[in-house]
Amino acid sequence: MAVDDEVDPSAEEEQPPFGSWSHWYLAVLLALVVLIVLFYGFTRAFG
Amino acid sequence: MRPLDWVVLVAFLLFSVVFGIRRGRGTRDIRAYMLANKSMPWYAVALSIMATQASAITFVSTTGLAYADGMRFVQFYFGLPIAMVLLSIFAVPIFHRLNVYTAYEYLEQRFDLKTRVLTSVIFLVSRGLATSLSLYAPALILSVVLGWDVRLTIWLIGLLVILYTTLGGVVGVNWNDFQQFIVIMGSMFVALVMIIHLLPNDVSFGEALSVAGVMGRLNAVDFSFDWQNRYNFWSGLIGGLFLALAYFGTDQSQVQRYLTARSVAQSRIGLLFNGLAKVPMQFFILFVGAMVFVFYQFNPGPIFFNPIEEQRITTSSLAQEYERVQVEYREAQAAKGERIRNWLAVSRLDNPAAESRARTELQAADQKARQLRSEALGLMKQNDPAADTNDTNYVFLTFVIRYLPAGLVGLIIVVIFAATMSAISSALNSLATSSIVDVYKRLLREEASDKHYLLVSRLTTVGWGIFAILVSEQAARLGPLIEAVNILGSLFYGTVLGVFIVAFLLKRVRGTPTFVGALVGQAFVIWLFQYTTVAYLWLNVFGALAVVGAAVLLAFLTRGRKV
Repeated sequence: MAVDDEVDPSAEEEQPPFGSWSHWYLAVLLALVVLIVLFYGFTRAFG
Repeated sequence: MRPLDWVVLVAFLLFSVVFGIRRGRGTRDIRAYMLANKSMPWYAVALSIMATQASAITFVSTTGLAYADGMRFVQFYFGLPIAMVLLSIFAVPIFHRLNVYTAYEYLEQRFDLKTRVLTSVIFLVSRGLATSLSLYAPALILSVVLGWDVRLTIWLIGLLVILYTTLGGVVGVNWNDFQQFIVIMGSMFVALVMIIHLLPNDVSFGEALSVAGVMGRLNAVDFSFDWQNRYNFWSGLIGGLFLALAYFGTDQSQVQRYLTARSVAQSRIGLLFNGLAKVPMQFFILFVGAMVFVFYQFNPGPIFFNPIEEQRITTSSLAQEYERVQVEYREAQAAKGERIRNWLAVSRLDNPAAESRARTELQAADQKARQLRSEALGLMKQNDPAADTNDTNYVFLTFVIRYLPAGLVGLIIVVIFAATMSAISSALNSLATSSIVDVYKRLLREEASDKHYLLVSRLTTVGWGIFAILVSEQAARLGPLIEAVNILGSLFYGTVLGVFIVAFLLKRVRGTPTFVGALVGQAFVIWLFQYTTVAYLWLNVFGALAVVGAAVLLAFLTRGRKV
């Protein structure tokens, strides 16, 4: 079970179901920005 | 608890145990027991990750935090999505490609055995203690609110989890996490609908939001910077990023969740889903707490939510004084309710000057109620300086017990059990995995049959479960429990994260400088914790940077030598 016993060949770079991984990463970061803006708006509107 | 509540609770517990064991059938070797033969789809990985992180404390204490302090705790999670992206890029492909069972296994190839052992021992100690706390916290809260025996609750939850984790292995754990998380979120949603339904008929949802807002309970984002401030945008984004990197990238209880995925892609999607869903989920839980706060603005609430502590003062020599404060508090609360209604009525008119006056009057009434509560807490401390005057852990459950209908109370108790079980089962599974892979198989018995390792893995799972039960029985009272768990993590996480950052990014730095750097970093974090007032989220940042800095410096000083 040492790490150098074997390298899993199936673990080579795989593509996501659609788009590229950088699109997926960008989407998550963009969602974070949108959420922060929404929360900030929420704080300003009600807080 | 009424009969229907018991039916709901018992049905859930039985279902969880049977489901976990049935799902884990066919586990015949340690690859299946520890990695599910790398067969899990992304959605099971994602919800298992989320369920593992969310213990009972998350639901009970977070709602209480929103009630007492507003929603700024949500900022704690702002760094998490960034961490998910970074881990998807750097950690996931490496862990999968090398076919490791634990994150620490990778460190032996990258550095040396001592670095692997150091990080795995740090994990075993810190996760072992944190698991005990995760077991103790809900038992304590249920004992205070429902009068249940703490030891009995600890043993009940502990034994049920040991049963399905030992027999079902990681497959049973992950699929149980999956179903438990759906039950948890569904129940919390029903609770929110019910809370809103219980608000007075003449107060709309929008007005409820306005009331929470004007009284400072919807303060989700705060851009001001302060080292001592635990929850602001900067500590959440930077400190939260480092904490999430450490927790999801180096803590075996999380790493093992995505190591069970079918492929790199499925692991990544699971992590990214967590990054997308976690922040809104925490916002939602905090929002439940804020709505409980609004509910108590229109309905009589206790001055203090921990009935055990309250009983101590009401049977002391200060009982009369406390009763006077209680009476005044009730009057102040009633007056505040009137001021709120007045402010709402004025707000409907287009008269800014009158609205401003009504708002000032409301805030003055709120201030008066807060002063009386402070006076009550002062009396508790005067009666017993060791009194626990933090009641955030009891707010939500007290509300649930008093106001929610039969069946729904049982459902919320199910939330507490489910959250506890999902967090503990993953922890026991990972503690056993690291104990066997990083210690037993690596140091004590390198050659044995798979059957032997599987048996020892199951026994180790039982052993860690009993350890968690015994330690949690002895756990002393801690303040806000959720913070205690996070502080405990932050004392070690920075150091381990620093080691992994060096491993992933600084290819020229070798084992010994990293190992010494880790010791230096850990000493630095303990010094910071003991002698400064830096908020604990920053300990992850400083710890990781100290390890990286010390390792790079030592590597530079010893360059040319083979270390």
